[in-house]
Amino acid sequence: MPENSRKHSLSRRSFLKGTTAIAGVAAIGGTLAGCGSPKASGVAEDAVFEPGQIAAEGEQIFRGVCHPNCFGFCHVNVHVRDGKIVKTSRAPYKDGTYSRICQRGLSHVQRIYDPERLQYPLRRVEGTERGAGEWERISWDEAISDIAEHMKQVQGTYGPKAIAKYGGSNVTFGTTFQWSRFIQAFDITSIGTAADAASMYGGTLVAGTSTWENSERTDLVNAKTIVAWGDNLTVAQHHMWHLVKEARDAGAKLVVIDPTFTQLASKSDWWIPIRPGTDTALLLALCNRVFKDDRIDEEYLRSATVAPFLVRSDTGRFLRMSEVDPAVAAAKAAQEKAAGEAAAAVMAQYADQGEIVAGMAAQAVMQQMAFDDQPAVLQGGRPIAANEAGAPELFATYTYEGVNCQTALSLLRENVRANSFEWASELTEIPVEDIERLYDVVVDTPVSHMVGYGPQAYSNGKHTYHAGYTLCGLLGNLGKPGASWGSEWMFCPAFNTTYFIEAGMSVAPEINVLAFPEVIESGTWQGNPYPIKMLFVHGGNPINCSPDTNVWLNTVVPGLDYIVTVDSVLTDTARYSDLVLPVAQWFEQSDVTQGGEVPTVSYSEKAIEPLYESKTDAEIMHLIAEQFGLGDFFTTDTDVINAAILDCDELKALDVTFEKVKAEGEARFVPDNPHIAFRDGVFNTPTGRLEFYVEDPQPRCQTPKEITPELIEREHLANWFPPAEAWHENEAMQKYPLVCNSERPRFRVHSQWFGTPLLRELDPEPIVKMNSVDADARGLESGDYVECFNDHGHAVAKLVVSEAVRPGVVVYPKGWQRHQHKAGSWSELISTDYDPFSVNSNFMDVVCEVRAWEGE
Amino acid sequence: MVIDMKNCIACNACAVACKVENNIPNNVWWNRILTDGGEYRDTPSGTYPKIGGACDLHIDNYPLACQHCSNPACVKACPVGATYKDQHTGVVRQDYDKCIGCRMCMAACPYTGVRSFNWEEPAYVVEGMGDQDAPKHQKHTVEKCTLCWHRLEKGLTPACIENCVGRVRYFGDFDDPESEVSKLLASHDYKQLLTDKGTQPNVYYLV
Repeated sequence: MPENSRKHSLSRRSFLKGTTAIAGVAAIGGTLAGCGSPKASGVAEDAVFEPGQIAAEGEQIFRGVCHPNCFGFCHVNVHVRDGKIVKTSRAPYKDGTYSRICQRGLSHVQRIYDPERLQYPLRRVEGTERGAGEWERISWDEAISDIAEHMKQVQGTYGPKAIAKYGGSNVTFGTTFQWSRFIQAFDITSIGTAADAASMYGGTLVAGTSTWENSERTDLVNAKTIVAWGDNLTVAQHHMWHLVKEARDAGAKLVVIDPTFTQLASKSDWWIPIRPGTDTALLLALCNRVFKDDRIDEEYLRSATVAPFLVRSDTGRFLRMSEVDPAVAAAKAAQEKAAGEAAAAVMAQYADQGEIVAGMAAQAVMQQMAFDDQPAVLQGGRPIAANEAGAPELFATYTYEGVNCQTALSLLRENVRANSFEWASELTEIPVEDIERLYDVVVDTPVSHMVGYGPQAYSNGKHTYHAGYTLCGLLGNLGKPGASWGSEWMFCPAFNTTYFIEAGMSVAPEINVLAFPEVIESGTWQGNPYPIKMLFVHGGNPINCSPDTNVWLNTVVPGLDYIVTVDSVLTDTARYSDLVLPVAQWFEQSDVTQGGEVPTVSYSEKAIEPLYESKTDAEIMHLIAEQFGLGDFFTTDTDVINAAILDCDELKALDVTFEKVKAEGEARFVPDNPHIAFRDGVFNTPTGRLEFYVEDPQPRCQTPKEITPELIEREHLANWFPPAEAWHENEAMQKYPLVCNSERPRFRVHSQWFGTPLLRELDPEPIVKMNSVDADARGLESGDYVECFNDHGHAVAKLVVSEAVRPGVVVYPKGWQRHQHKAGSWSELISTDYDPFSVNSNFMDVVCEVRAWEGE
Repeated sequence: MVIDMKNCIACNACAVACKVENNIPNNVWWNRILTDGGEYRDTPSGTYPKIGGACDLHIDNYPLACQHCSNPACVKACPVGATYKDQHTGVVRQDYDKCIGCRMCMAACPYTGVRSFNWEEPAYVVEGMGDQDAPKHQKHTVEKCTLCWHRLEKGLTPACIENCVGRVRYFGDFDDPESEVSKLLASHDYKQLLTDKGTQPNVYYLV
């Protein structure tokens, strides 16, 4: 072990670098973006940051980056006196818009020196149950040899893939991607994410986005109206609030559509309360009315969307020119033959580097030489190539060799024809007059539709995104200042993906976290034996944050022989592990952070040595790798790691280099400012257009679930269907009549900062919020301890009766650890069931009943 | 100080900035965010609207600390002159060494809770947190917001101003008509708290 990693080593680097970045990403899995083709920035900015600058006598200031996956990436001054971090404060970005810090970023001192911080490796006392809290202190030498022995034993018995790795939301290049390299080297099975995946998937399918590419939020100022859909921005991502405020100062109106009267709703010009899980229905009804009123932007639809493409009724696919023009068919055949030959030649050329590398090389050639088989559109009564048509028909039918074809726009109009305002009103519980009024707002473009992660957290959530892009496509409300749809996450467009595989390349599949329990239980994956017996967890807390804690506790944990968690405190997941390694926190090492709601990569400087016996992730990987003779592939120097990952021609073209990031503290990777997504109607989809009609719907990732023809039919266009659990007509709600929503809390990010003492002074224990109607019906009052429960599990919290909460709904701030609850924990209530296409954690699609808690 | 209250979202960044900057002991807060609405944070007054009904829900957030009044009740109440008004800046200051712990200032101040009293030796999760020139906390003394006097001395603004993530807090000289705060008051509706008490508070809330 690991056999395959020794076979491949550095030699293929030069070939892979650049040429197969996209294929490399696909092989590695996870939420990595492929390379785009952005233009170089011509703007040189002044350097304002000098590492290790002295602030005052006796105090040194280091530049850190707060990066808990709130998407903010705030620069922070890390103030050090006598080798101790004493304060964090706001530090500037070159673009002052992004200079900010929040209550969490300000509280790092008490997070770093948290009395509960792990100080040395802990091993579960032999003979005690996992989770019993019986630990023994061991040395790093013992810990590492323990891990190596288990790796050898597990991989020797069950094969290399029997080790799995779960990574959470560490969003840096160095740490995150060193773990990617680790799993490649050891052929470890990667556990894929499912959090907020439905909206990401919807955006990728329809608009070709990687993550949630969108116009920069500094563009909100150009909107006539900001419509916030299920976006609890003022609590969950409140670093963005000032941009909404500034847009309003410039004249933008704010409309908030949310079941809950959030702080954002309280600030808005108009709050529209909506029944949970029905945002898609509202959007479809708006689409329908746009057709009826003939408000469609014909020019935009023709040039920037698939609207005029003819869709075959038999296959659901676009009719292509090779099907209707024999000359094109002949050219296509010739091109495919040439591509096949070229691929075979490349395959032979790289045969000595193994099947995977050769396959990737061949695939890259096939992609490069793919024939551009244009979709057919109707113009002058006959099909012609879409890219040659000047004024194709938008609404038309055409019969080709007995097969009925219709334009995608005709299909869309037909699909939403029944989605009247009355229909939507019944589902959403929004009065028809209000939908009329909203319609007037929405068609008065430009409108920035600012979308949170709530609407997509139901089983039907992908369709909210699909429908939103569809509506904006109809109105031409994309790619222009102030006109946008979606959440925002700007991912660095390129990096050197070969870094992952220099120490070996894994052939293990990525198994999604939602399918993981089933794989553990059955010991199979896709019909073949697939035992997983050991789990690494780093920078994550699945027992707390993944759906259905009881499935984790009763199926996953007992199904594993050995669990190692790398963390700085005893999280829920650490508490159920066999070995816990104390890891250095952010300001105890240097790293380069990725972008998010700031389109910039930043250098987070090391301010102090790792506390106690803790070690950095890179050091931990190095120590493990050493046990297998691979230590040289795993440097402990994060600067070396980051320099290698950022070494990429596409980033150089953007003037993003490691040297610059380190010297200046940051480098912006988006040339235009504010960045406008899909400018000039350009989309990174297979057709280069907005694909509101999805030709070939494929699940986001492989799962054991069956994909039926009916399901495929549902996925071509946006559709509304009831949420899997949280719908009043569902059987589950007869027994559990309350919809159980979560909010991303103000005083934690997911479960991070759960123990930080000063934040616990402000927010001492789990609460759940409920409307007085529901509280009165159950005889409950604010301050009572209540038990929220369903068939999956329960959680006990203190009740806050609140008129901000919709009757029939309860809302809880997430992220409390099990030991902080009187009983249970919030993720116990969430089902691991998932939509087979979006494969998303349905964090909001949850029902429960609430009763007084009688226990202690 | 001017606080654009209608844009305050109760994030508590100002409160935490204050706590850390001044190394405030455990369970003591000089700056708190009060909810004008329901009983708890984020809870509004009114009733969740019926379908199609009017919405009367209302919530405002009041960051509350010492108001640094022009006519401070606390100064008059202090029997030993430990609480005093700095004539040059208008900041209401305290001399901990003079404070005898009688808590008369706490009783006199109409803004309940902006002061705290160290009944015991101050306790800290982390020793030496915050700015090195932050006040040293003492047993049996009353404390409150200093407007980050140690920062003002260096030409810096208070920590709550600098670190407000919503950018709704402003600081300056009301005697200077050209200052940002003077201009804000000239161009916005505002209110002060408990003006009927005659303390002439110097924290203005834009409404």
